[in-house]
Amino acid sequence: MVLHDADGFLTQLTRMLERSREKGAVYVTMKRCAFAPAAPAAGVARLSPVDPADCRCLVRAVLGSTKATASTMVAAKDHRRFMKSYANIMKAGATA
Amino acid sequence: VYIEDWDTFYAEAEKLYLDHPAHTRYSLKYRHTDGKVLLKVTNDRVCLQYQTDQQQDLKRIEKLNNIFI
Repeated sequence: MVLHDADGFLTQLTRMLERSREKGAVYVTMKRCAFAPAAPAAGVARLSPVDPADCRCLVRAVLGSTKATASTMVAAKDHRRFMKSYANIMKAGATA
Repeated sequence: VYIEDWDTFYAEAEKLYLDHPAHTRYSLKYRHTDGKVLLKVTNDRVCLQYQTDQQQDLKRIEKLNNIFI
């Protein structure tokens, strides 16, 4: 599983949409994660009920024909910007 | 298997997410060859699916995307 930063992931997503024009499908999945990817070492108290601002969202993209995958973790504050870029990419990719 | 009406799908998806934010995931499958988009929202107990090939639904899909912030 290849973990990218947000911009790298969006680049990969664009490439996947281009590659899937003739055949195959692109799958995008989003799920919220309650903890940061680089969790502190054991011994630190577990997170209490999640503060909404700290939530991160895992976004994965898979190209059906080649099984190539890309993923990124988006923090809550970056989410708005990420969603704008994502919407633009999907609009460009989905209709043309 | 598929929900026919967008508004129902949207309302149910929103409810599912608000009830189980940590367990709900949202999948999207796009096939350019068929021009179809398949949306799935599930919390591993309940699964809602919607499929479309209409461009006008792109705007609605964006709205749905914004819930998952």
